[in-house]
Amino acid sequence: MTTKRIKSKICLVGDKSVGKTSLVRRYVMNMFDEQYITTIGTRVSKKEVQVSLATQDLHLQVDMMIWDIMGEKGFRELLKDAYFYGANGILAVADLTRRRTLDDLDDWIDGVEPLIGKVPVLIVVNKADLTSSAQFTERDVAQFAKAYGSDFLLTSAKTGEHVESAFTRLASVVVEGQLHPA
Amino acid sequence: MLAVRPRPAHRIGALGVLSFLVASALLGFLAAPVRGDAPIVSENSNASRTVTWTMGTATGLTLNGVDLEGANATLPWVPANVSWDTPAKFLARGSIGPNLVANATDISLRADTTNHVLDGDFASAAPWTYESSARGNVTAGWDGGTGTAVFRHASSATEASWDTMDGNLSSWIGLSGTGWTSRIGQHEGSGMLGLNFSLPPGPPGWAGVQRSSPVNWSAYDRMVLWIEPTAPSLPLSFNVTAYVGSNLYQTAPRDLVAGWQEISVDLGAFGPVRDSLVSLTLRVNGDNISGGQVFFDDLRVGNAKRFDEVAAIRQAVVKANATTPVAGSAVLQLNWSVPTESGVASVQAVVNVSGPSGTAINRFSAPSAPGWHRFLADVSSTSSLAGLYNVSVEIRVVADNTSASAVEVRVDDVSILFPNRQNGTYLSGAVPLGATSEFLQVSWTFESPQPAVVQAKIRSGTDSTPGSTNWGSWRMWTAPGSYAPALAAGSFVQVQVDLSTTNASVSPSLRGLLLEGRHRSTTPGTISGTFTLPPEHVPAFLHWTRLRAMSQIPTGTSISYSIGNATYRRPVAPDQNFTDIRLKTLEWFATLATTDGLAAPSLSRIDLVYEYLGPPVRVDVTSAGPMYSGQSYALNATAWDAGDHLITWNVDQFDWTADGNGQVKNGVYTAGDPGDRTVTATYRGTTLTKTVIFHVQPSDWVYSLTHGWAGITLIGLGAIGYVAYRYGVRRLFQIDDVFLISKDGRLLMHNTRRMRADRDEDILSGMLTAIVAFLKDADPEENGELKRFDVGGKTTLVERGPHAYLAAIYSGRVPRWAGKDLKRFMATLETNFGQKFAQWSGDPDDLQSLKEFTDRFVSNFRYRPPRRVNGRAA
Repeated sequence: MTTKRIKSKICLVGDKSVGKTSLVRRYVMNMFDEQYITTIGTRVSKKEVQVSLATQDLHLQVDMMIWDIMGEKGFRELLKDAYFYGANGILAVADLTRRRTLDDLDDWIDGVEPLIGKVPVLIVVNKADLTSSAQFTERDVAQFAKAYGSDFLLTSAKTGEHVESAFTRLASVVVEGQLHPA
Repeated sequence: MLAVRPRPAHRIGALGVLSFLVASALLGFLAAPVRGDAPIVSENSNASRTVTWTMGTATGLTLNGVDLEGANATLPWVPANVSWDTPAKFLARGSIGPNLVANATDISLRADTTNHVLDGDFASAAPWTYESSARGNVTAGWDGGTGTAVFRHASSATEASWDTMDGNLSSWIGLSGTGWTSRIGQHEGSGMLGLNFSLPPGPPGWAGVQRSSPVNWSAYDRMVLWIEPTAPSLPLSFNVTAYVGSNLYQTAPRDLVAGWQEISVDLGAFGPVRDSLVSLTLRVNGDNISGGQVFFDDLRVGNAKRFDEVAAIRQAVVKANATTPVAGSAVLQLNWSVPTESGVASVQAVVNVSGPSGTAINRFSAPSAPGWHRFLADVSSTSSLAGLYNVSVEIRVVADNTSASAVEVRVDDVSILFPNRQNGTYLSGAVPLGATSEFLQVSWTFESPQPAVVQAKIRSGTDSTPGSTNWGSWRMWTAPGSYAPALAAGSFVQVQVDLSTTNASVSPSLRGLLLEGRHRSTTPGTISGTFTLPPEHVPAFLHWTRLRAMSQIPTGTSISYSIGNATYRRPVAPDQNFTDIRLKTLEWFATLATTDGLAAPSLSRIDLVYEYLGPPVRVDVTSAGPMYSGQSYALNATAWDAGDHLITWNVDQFDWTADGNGQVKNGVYTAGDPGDRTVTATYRGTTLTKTVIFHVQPSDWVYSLTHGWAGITLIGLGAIGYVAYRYGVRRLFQIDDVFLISKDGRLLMHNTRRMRADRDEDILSGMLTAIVAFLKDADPEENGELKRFDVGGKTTLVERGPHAYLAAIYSGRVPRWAGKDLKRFMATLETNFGQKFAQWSGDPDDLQSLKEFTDRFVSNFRYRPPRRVNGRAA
């Protein structure tokens, strides 16, 4: 099996306080303080992910650059050209305890696509540990994800549930797109 | 394992082979599908092969929920039957009205079990009429205390004692026997008359006791006495004889039974004048009796009471509907009891139902056992017509005796039940068939004996609301059997069966329905085939490139395709190009589905195309930019196969020639004399060549200088200056790091003098990109960019290109020209790698040659681009 190295850029989008930074904190160690997000609107992290493409007899070491982007909508409009440029995938994050955050993902995803084209999107509903306060169901998420032809996962940055799976899954579809652009 | 079919070795000419190949290529999809079998591999003209499956047989195919019909794969027909062979199945899908009844075997008209006799339980006297017998010996009435009809008779004795046989028996003479007078157990009083006798075998004889004096019984017509024969006296009979004048008269013999018995003798046998009966003899008759014994006691005479009278209760019953005369269609019942019956000859009940159909008279005798008894009589034959019927219960009492007598008869719970059937309907709901179905045959099982009628109906529709605009009209059948249903296709059916009769005793019966229909399976089915590259094709194999399908997809149907293997599957669209499937064994799947039960997709052929690296057919040579005489330029040479697959880009595999004093060595062309110059590359080992024409321009003045004396002088001075600067100014600063970063923030290349373990260049590049972008967007009206920033003793210069930007970190005092150098370097990079930057996939291997460029930038005192135009950087 051939081993190859590849660099990917993914962006986390979603409303304020849905847990984007917590997901990243769960997943990677950072060099830079989280203060950067509120200073310049983003913080870049890195995680090396191993992906095997069985159909191509290929093993990939993916240097996944994770751009955690500030959830303020005004900020999105201001800096989206710069921050989203060249992204290979989107991790769209909603909060299970706030229905509005799922509905707002439409704006996030639709706002990004004109800049970067059709890239893989993974819908992530965070705070899955707070089921008693849930304001929407897994079925709602499935319908939402289906509209974008995306997969979805329910995660909990608090317990770590499915956090790694979310990034790994996104990485595996992102590299397919990078190696074989449509 | 599938294999490539070997080609037949025909001994035909090259032209023939060529014609065959051309024809095969042209026919391709146009040709009628070959019936068969395992996939066929055919060679294409563009370094690809097509693997073809046809659907003639299942060989080489895996079918799951798919049938092969007429060389097509399609969805199978599945039955859509309505099979109701028991009433329970009818009821599971519908309901019957109140006039129908379902039992284990059929559905029929419900019989009316209403009692047509009013107040049959005698809770009140009405509406019965109570009629006593004409002479009043038997009365009929209502007993409100017990709620019964009661019939009674009571009368006193009409006899007087004539001889008690208690004491003086001298007036009796024993004949053919010996009499005595005392015996315990006499029937009446204190004594009786006994007779010992023997009768010889042979003709019957008699023995008796005879009255010695004449008897005047002219005032009586009955004589009554008690008799007891004792064993072994039986069999015996008893009669009385007497002379009237000289004539001997005798009464008819009466057989005696064991024990005491009261015998009443009609004295009429002695004639009308009985005032002087001589030799009155009480006889026992028999033969062959030895030691016989008989006792007589309590002889009385009197005049008999004689009557045969009937008392009755009556009621008129209205019968609304005709019934059949067959037994069971009308049943009369009553309960009766005879608590008292003594001194009468008989008690009999007579039940009479009479009306338009006739009269039914049923007689029955008083029960011997005490208590209530049920009387049941079928009156079907005499009550079939509708109309008014009289129902009566008569009690007949017959008396012919002289003793006291009493009779009491009670009647209760009189009823008459007629079936009185009416019309009824079974109606189902919308019976789902699973999908739109066509109907082939309907078979009804029912019975409709005259005058009963069955109207069986079915209609079909396409929604679950019977009778809506999406439903057809009813189809009706009135006789059992199998029929072509002639129903419109539908996904639901409704069943209605009307049962009717004009004879309330005759019911039609519904037993079963089989509606045979069918529709295409709405469960998606799959068909698949697998192909494994033969070993000889594996080395050159590149990738699978396309799936093509020949299919018919009517409205409401679909076929979706996927390819993969046991662990991996990926959806594909027909004719969609793909290049990333490199499995040596590839399986295709076609999933056939329909939402219309009458339509099915059909698939007649699948082609899978793969590409391979074929023999070279073409060579290309390229070079960028203008050329100047005497300068060297890297040429690119490539060899391609018929499918535009790159075979090699290694310039060393080409033999080069150039004219006009030009030279090509290892792919580097040193331009010769100015003018249009040709360079020819020949792919080594083949005859494939490519000749290109370059326009070589005269060299610039710098070049001239470097080749003349003035130039040599200048070079010498320059060298001295360089050394001085190198060991002077150069020491004042150095480039620690160069980051080449793509516009999206990914690090393209990093060159450094020393590695730092506490720093991740990728993250640094990303954050630097964010900061640069932030600063640029922070005040867009200024249209400015971050060019330089100083942190501690380090200075960072930033230079942006169209596709990437450079960040160079300097230590020491940065000279003014450093920015220009950086700009030149950026320009060089964009010229040589700009397109690669724009299309970079993220694979660092794509940018390996960058390292050499950045090394040059970092190590050089001043950066000079590799090519120059008139002394200026290109």
